[in-house]
This record gives sequence, C-alpha cells and structure tokens, in this order.
Amino acid sequence: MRILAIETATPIASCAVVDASGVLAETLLPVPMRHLEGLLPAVAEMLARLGLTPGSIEGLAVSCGPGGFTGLRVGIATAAAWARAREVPVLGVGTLEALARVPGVDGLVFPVLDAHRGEVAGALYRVGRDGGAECLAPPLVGPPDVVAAEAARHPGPVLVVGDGLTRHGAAILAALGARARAAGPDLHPRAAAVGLVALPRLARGERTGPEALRPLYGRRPVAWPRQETSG
Amino acid sequence: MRVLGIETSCDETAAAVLADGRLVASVVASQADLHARFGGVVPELASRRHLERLGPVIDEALAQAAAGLREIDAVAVTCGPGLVGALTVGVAAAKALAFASGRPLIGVNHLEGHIYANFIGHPDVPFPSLVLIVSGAHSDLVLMTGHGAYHVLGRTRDDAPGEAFDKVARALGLGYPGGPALERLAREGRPGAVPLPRPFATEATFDFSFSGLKTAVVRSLAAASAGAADGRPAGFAADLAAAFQENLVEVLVAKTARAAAERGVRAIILAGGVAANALLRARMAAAAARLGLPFYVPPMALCTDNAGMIAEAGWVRLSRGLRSSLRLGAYADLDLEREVPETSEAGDRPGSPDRAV
Ligand SMILES: [Zn+2]
Repeated sequence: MRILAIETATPIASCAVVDASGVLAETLLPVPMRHLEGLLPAVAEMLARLGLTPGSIEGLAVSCGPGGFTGLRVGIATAAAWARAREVPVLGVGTLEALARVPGVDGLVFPVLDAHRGEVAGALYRVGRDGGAECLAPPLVGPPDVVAAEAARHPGPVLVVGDGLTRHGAAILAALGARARAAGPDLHPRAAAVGLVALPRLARGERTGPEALRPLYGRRPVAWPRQETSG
Repeated sequence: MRVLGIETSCDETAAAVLADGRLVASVVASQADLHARFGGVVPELASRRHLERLGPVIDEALAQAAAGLREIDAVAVTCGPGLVGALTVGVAAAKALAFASGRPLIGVNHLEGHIYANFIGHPDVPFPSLVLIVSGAHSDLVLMTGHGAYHVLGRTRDDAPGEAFDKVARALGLGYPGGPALERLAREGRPGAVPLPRPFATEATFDFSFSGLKTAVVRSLAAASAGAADGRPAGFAADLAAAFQENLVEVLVAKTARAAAERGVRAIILAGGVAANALLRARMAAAAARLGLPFYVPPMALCTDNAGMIAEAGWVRLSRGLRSSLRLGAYADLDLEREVPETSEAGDRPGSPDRAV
C-alpha cells in the first residue's frame, strides 16, 4: 500500500510518500507558517519527482495534533477532501506519536511540543523494536511540570524529544528525575513518521471517516467576537 | 460542464453545483446559532465548524445534483475577503479536490461572487452596469464595465449597512443576527415619526457612512427611555426601526441612482446579504425604473452567502481562460479591482492537471 502522509501541526510542515519498503520521499515545506500555500505544491512536486500521479496514492495519513489549529486544519481539510475525491482510506495520527518515532530508538519516549503561553503538549509512549508504539499517558496540554508529572508515573529510563525542551527542558527534566535523557530539541514531527505510524494500521483496514477527522484541540477556543463580519 | 462551488468566508458553510450555467444544487449550513450567544462571529469557532461541516455539505450538494465528484469538471472556491481561518478550510479542501481529481482550480473573490449571483440565469446582463454590494462588511458602489472589470466609485467609511442593522437591532434588544428581525419590526412603525440624520445623502462623494445614523438611533432610544416615567412610549421601537431603515435605504438608493445617471450605465445591479431587504429591493427597483434601466437583484436565497454565486463567478472566470495555481492562499483583504492572487490565463490547455500546478 502506497500512502501520502501529511504533517502540518508545527511551523515546519512536511509531506511524504511511504510504502512497505519504507519512505519513498519526504519534502519539508521551504517557508514556515505558509502551510495553506505550500502544502499542495510540495505534494505535487514530490509525486512528479517519484513519477506518481494522485491516482497512484492508495491511502492517506494525516497528523491530527496537538499543534497549531490553523495548520492542523490545512492538513486535515486536504486529507479529507483528497480521500473523498479518490475514494481512498484516510487515517488520523497523533502528532506526538509521530514525534516519538525516533529512528533507532525504542523504550520509553516522551515527546513534548511547545504549546506557547508557557505550556507544552506531551504524551508518553513505549516504543517497540519494530517501531510500534503503546500509549502510556495520552496527549496532555498544560504547564511543563504538570505534563511531565504524568509521564513520571511510569518507571524506567525515558528519552525526551521535541521543541518543548528548548524553553522548558529544565522543568521537564526536573520532574522526571535522573532517569530522563534529553535528546533532539531540534526534532520536529515529520510526515515520514506520520506515514510509518499509519502504514501498518491502514494496511490492517483501520480508517478514520473523512468527516470524523478533527484536530486534537488542546485548549478551549478563545471566544471573543470580531467586529467585522462579512454578510 | 459542472462546476463545484465552495464558500467558507464567514459563518456559512456552503457548496453548490452549477451545470452548464444552471444552478442544480445549493446547500448552505448556517452557523448563526453557534455565534448568537457571543453577539458576533467568533473566528476560531467558525473555522472549527467549517472543518466539520464542509465534507457533509459537499456530499449533500453532489447528491442534490445527482453527481459524484468524478463528474465535476472544475472547483471554484472563495479565497477572500473574509476570516482567514475560515477561508483556509475551504481553500485547502478545494485545492485537494482539484489536484486529486486532476481538475482546474479557480479562486473567487467573495464580492465578485455576490455580484455574479445576479448572472445565474441572466448571462446577458448589459455592461457597463452599476453595482451596489451591501452586506455585513461592505457597501461598495462599483462600476462594472465587463466580466471581471471593476472600478470602485465609493465605499463605506465606517459601518457597513449590515453591521449598522446588527448594531441597531442589538440596541433594540432584537438579538443577533438582527437584520431580519429589525426589518420585521420596521414594518409596524412609521418612518417619519422619529427624526434621524441622512448621512452623506447630498454630498458629492459616493462614499457611505452609517455610524452617525447608528449613533443617532442609540441616542434616541436612550432619550426616549429616560423621558418617559414608565419606559418608552408604545410603538417607539417600531417607529425608530422604521426611521432607521428608511434613512439607510434612502441614502443607498439616492447615491446609486446618481452614480448610474452620471456614469451612463445600462443596468443597475443589487448584491450582498442586505439585498435581501424588501424595502431596499423595492426602492432600488423604482429608482431604476425612473431612470429607464433594467434592474437585477438575486432571489433571496442567493443574496446571503452561498456557493451558487461562487460557482457562477468561477464558471465565468474559467470560460475566460483563468486558472488558479495550487499556491492559492486565503486572503483577509482582497481588492475587487485587482486580479485574485496566484491566478492567470491558462492558455490553450484548459483542465490539464499539470496546468493547475
Ligand atoms: Zn457575503
């Protein structure tokens, strides 16, 4: 099964094509925060480079957060519409699970993303040798020490990854204690990982209905009316 | 040729199918209930709802049109002006639909869409025409010299008519959105009973200003409430609503008629959500008749935001050879007088997927 994977949760979006042989191609969007403008041209260019057409994509995988709401909606609206147009299956994948998939790493992995306003998004996974991951603590958005405390309830050496380390590394590592090791504050969720997480599930027949694809909104919407409305 | 239209610029999620110039399906899922308790559109909530509703709305439009996505020949989508987050959902979906099925993509200016609601079933509207676009965000007086050729003669300097309607309705305790409720109340009132200003009515400019009128209404309301021992006199709210509507309509019609006469146009076109107002429709029709000009106004359902108007505008643009690239974005501000970004003449190979890139 050949799938197109989309990752738009963070400022650096990406797309990838994966199949049973591995990652065929991955493209990082050249301009941060321009997901809407950049995603489809990047996909088109990548498919052309591989000599593929949209019709040769047999399924889609899309990162569903936590992450930037507008970016996530770009990826999800794109994947859902594509799935409708080609009548192919689509699967929503947790952004943190994709981030936990560090090549060559197994055991406990604690991915953390900077959620701004002093908060992080984190979740704890036990990653197997085959890359399969078991979720031990589901995605949570909150103060770094609170989120890390959830992960600290599970014993054993833990690898912390993601840009949440950049600003909140000290607080996170303090909450986890000496068994924690920080790696890759520069690691970002990537479409290739989204695709690799989704591939075996899609192949097993797992799907998300296109209408059921939703971003994982970590916060309640900030609710204030805009003055201008268009009629 | 079947064109799928998509519209998500504000608080209506809409999809429509236009087949050879005939509107065969139009579905609008309103979010008015979602935003009512906030007294205005909450952008983040609007974006969330668009994402949830757009797929089902497209499916319903296709079902009405008895067509599958494979029978769609082009995708037209509103790319601005509007709420960026809301527009983003529609544009992302439209781009994916177009690319995945190898069909051309065409970005449409929402205001051009409102104008083209008048062209559905009337492809031979004569040019030059004078267009008045009135909505919650706009009151634009536009000289249209041909398809896609616009010259803006005047626009609002502050509140748009729909915005003034909503604000006055709120002051009168009519809830949100208040336009239709205010119009109903005004029917019971006497327009001459309360004196209100007629903003810019006699000035040479074609610009509009309605914030002064709105403020005068709010002041009259406060004065009436303070003056009477047991609240406002009976029927005062209706009289005030009638006077407000009368003054607003009079200014809109007077400026449009003057511009039409000065510019020697061949038709008058009314467009936008406020074009659903019965008094405005009747007065504008009468003014056009006095000038001996044909008058166009869309049926009620095509005045407020819908995707039929986007499909129609898109179809005309496609017929003119225009295509949008996959780099199309969402634009909060989009000038009617300028070409939509990422859009150009596709040349001799319409519909070719590689041209969409
Ligand atoms: Zn509108």
